[in-house]
Amino acid sequence: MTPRMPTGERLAIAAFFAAYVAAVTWPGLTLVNRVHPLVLGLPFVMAWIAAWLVAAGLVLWGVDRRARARRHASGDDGAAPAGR
Amino acid sequence: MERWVWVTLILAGYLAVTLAIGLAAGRRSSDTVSGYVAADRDFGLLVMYFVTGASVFSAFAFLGGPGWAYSRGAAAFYILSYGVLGMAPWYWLGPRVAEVGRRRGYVTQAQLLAGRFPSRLLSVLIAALTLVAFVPYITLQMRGAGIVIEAVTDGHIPLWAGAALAYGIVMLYVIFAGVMAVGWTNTFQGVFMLVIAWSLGLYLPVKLYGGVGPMFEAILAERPELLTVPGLTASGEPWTWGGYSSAILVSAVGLQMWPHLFMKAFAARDDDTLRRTVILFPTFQLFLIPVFLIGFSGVLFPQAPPDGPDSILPFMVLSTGMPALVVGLFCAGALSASMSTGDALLHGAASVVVEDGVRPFWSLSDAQQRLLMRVLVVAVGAVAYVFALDEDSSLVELLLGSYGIIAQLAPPVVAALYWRRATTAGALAGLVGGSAVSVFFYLNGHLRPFDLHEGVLGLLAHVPLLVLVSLATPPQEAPHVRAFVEERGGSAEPASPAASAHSTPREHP
Repeated sequence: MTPRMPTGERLAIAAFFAAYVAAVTWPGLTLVNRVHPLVLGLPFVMAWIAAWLVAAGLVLWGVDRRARARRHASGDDGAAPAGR
Repeated sequence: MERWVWVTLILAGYLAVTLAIGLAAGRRSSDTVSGYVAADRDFGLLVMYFVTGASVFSAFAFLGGPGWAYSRGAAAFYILSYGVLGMAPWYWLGPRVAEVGRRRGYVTQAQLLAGRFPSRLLSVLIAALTLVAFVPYITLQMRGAGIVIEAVTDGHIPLWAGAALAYGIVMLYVIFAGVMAVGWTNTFQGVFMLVIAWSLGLYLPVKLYGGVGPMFEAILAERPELLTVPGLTASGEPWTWGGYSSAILVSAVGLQMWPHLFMKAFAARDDDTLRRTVILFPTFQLFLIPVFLIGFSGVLFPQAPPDGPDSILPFMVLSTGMPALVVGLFCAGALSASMSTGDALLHGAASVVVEDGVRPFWSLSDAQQRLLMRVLVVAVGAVAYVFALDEDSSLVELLLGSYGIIAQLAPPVVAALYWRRATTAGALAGLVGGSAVSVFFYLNGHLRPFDLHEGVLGLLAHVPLLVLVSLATPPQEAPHVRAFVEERGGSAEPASPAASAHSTPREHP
């Protein structure tokens, strides 16, 4: 379908999402479970959770850019209904 | 004129526009099952973005979100935590699902599963599961709509009439225009939800406290327990870390497994549309921040909402002296949240029951299927409406419980697309065993270790069952598996020219 993602990139993505899960659940979240300093007026812990959410969006965007570049290099625009 | 009259007029205008959009959208799809259920696989990015965001965030997020922040404080942050975690795997899974769907003519989740794991029992199980999970979900959306309309019209339009009005309109456009109407009305409703949430969520703290920061400082001084995770339970006791963390996990695993969301993968125009929808989802999800701010703004308000925490949002709008126009628009925003999920649920329930509960046993023509789906939209809507009039809070419990069962659909979906060695017996054993464990701990909540969500416990039983029973039974034949699982470094079975046609009969090799 699409050129395969390099193993290093796979590991990096898996590591990022594992870190995301760890950062917003017990015990990771206990480390940042405080109100001060307020970030944009929000309690620190709330801003922390929101920051991971935004970071995940950016990571996926970066993944997509690289995947697109690979598809482009292999002469496939990835947009055809059949996917190839 | 009195305020409620103005509000009613704005509301009527909003409902009229929604209906017009819904009916007009239907003219764009073909008269086939594929058109009614999967929009001829032609949803573009704009519609996919809003259909995803607006279907995920229901009346529960729009009314329940502020209610949680108001009464349970930081416990609400779990809702902010799981959405993107649940959506991200869809960047990879979604296009795989869509590709197999195009090739084999699938329009529902159970068709995909019963395609890889041929079993009518599996198909019927999923159809039954969908119905059991959807009826309370639709009921809550209807109640949400009725509550909001009753509140902002000062009781001149009672709950039963408001719910009937809003959902009469939803049924009309779902019956006549199917998923096209769901998609385009959700686009309109999604814009409404975002604008209302952000403007109200920033306005209330500024008006009442002089800013978001000062509001949290004030809450910290008087109710510090509300600002520390994991917050409080519904009865005001401190919530447990096990409960909080496992709620995030089970919700993330279950999110995309909700059949009405899963099915939209079959409606996307192409793979890039699906991937971009996932990438953009966090921008929609961020609207939970102002939604929580609305709830927090009520914490130190002198009066409490008369109808419980879930009515904090309409209560705040009505008690802060806003003009009728703003009240009316807010009401339309809340209705949007309710209706944009309710329509997808009604449509999803009818589609799944026909495609997965009926078709494996009786062969129906394309026209008969569509007729039966429309009848079911009315039937499911009517049942949910009867429940909605009954003030039975156990429905909320039922909905929370159903998340544990919906999450059990994740392992077989992943196995169907990525694990060559998975077998039908394994998939069935896992699904039945996992669901049974989940239901057992739901009914016996006090037995749950570490206050873990019953769905997580179900998954802990599910995955080993799936793996062990699969390995103990003979592997599926290689050509069959190749149609679902991508070859390493290569592609799955090439598409046959006829396969992309609408609703080809299901293959049972």
